[in-house]
Amino acid sequence: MKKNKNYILTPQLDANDDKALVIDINCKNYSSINEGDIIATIESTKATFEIPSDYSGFIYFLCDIDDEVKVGDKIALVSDDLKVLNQIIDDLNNESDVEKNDKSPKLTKKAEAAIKKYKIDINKINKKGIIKEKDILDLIKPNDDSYQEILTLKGNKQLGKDLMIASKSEIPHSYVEIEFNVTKLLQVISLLQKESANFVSLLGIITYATANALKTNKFFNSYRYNNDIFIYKDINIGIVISNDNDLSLPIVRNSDFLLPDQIVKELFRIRKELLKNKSKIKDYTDGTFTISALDHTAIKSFVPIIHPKQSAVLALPSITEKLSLINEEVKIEKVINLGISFDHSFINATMANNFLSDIIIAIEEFI
Amino acid sequence: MDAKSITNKVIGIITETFLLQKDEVNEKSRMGYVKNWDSLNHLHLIISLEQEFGIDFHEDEIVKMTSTTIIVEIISHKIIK
Amino acid sequence: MRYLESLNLALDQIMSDNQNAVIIGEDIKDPYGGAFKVTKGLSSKYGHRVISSPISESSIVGLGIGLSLNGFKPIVEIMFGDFITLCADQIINGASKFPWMYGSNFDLPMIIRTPMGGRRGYGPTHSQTLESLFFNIPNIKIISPSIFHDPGQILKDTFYKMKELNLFIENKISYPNEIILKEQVDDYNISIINNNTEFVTLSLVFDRQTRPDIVLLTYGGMSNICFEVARDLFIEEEIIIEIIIPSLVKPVPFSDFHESIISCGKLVIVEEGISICGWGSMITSNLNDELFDSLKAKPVIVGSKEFPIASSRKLEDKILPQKSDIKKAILKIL
Repeated sequence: MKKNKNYILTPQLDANDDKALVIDINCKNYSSINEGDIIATIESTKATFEIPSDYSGFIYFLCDIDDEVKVGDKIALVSDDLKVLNQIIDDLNNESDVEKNDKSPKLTKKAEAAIKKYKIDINKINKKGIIKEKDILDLIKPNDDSYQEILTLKGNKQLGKDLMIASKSEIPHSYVEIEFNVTKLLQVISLLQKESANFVSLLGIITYATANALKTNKFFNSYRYNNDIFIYKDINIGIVISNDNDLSLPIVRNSDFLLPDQIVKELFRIRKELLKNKSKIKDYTDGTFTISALDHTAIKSFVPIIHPKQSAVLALPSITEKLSLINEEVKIEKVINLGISFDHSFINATMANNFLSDIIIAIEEFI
Repeated sequence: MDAKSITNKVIGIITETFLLQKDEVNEKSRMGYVKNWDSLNHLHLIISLEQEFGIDFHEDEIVKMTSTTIIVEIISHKIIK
Repeated sequence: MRYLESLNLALDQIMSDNQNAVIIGEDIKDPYGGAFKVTKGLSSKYGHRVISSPISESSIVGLGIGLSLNGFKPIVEIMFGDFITLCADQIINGASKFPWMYGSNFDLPMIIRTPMGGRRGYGPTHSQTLESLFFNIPNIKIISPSIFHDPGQILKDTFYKMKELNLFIENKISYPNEIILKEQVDDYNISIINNNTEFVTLSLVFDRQTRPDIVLLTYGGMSNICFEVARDLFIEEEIIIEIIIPSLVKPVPFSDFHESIISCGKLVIVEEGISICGWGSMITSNLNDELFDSLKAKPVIVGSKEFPIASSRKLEDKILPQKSDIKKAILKIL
């Protein structure tokens, strides 16, 4: 520890001399001294000079009376810990010249941190001079020849990765799903789209129904931190929309106060601004619940990752057609496997089942 | 710009946005009847129309623009202004 | 080899090869060999060509000027750079003006050697860095080798090239230091920027493979401190600093560092003299004229404060530029 290892050096006495003679040593080895105490006297060609200690502690001399010392030479060692002092002296005695023979590689602070993080064996480093962080990272990177391309996550993608890893490691995920028959719903939507000027969408209706269900299933509009569950005042539903290579997460604030068509308008507003790079940060923050919408894909079932500071996420996959026997007739019914990932540390499957059922009830009431 | 040229332009943009053939879209086309014209892709159509005509659509207008006729009507009003 | 020894050997060689070379100074004869021992052993070898003078700086410079006008090549030692003020008239109204005043048909080859610099606790009249007094005096060259140059070689170069008065500025803290002549040490690389010119300008950097984050421009005694700063910041933050060290201080070899400044656009200038109207001011004025568009940040000058230098070491440290001042300037720009 550097704090316990202070050297007293031979000072430059005058313009001419770079050497001096030790003519007196004023205290014994291992004695206790205070800052300012005169510890030795040296003599140059012109005069004698008393050397004061800049440190308090236990002293050990690295020179003797009648030794010739150069300017800058270490003449004594001071430590405030006797044990440490003994250890240093042992080390000095065991090695002929610790400083000069020190063959361990010199490292920048970032390199030291990287070695610790990636648990690198310091002896594997075969570079002369000061080793940088990049030299350590090059050791752990795979050989570039075996790869067609190497891409690096940056910016929001890197942030997304970090958040997902954090979520998976801190929240115990569990998942359930219910088969939701949407045949009638889709017929209603189709009719409304064809006949009225109102823009109706499945996502808008599901978001509306989810907001209603969250009013009575408060645990799903909350998050857990250690042993505390924080239930949000507002219901701000974020909707994960995957669009080509980019994910966007517009948040419909106070969704419990909006009708399906208002939700749709709000989504259009936010998404349009995103596409035109004019998004406002408030449209992307403070979500309390998330719907992951993959209804425009071919995916029939999936398990989404819960967002930080939330406790559940609704999975909305695409519509599946299935054959059913109804009144002795074979009919094609349309279903969605409506699923939910939830924090299992305080939410159980029964609660999840009730929540999903409440969403379906809310949709059926709307119809 | 007269109504006919606006209509032709709009038809062209709808055709292009939803990757359709020329004769698949006309003045009477509407959402729900045109292939690929769904709620997700609707926004792409809006953006293309905004870029072509140099105008900005409010979300109240966006949700109404579900047929060629209505789109042309809304654009015409905005251009006159 | 130490800085001091390099100078001593160079003087020895100059005296040996040039019968018209003369050394003049106070207390420079053996056995004392000069206040800083730079001239040790020379009077024993070269007898009457090593002149120990009375304590009169103005006279010995005047003597040197006269000898130069009569075909000799004098090297005048002024014991402490602070005393150069006593020679000001001889320098400014004599050596600088004579060749011009009398038809420019003759040269006035002459060296005034003197140690400048503090950090010894020698007090306000023995610690200054005063070469800036002569920055705007025409027909004078100012040269100052660092420990990264070969000071003896620079002295010889000065001697063999001189046609006018050359102020050769040495630095007290550099005298006992080992000079560093290796091009590549494990940790850092030193290269010469200007291979074809008279006075070497060096570039020193800890990681030559990477483009520098900032340029540190300095000369003479401050090179030692700049080196430590560059090393510390490389280890602490992996900041890559290119230190550019000219040996020619005036006229400033601007073109030697333009390329490096253009490549990173950021610069700190370090000098031991008072920063107001000092070396840094000359450089920033030039950058303003020629490289304004290439600068990405305002250049910062780190120098001494406008205050007499105290005798107390602790107080002296508050007046002279320290490592921490240079680090602060660099980190502020970055």
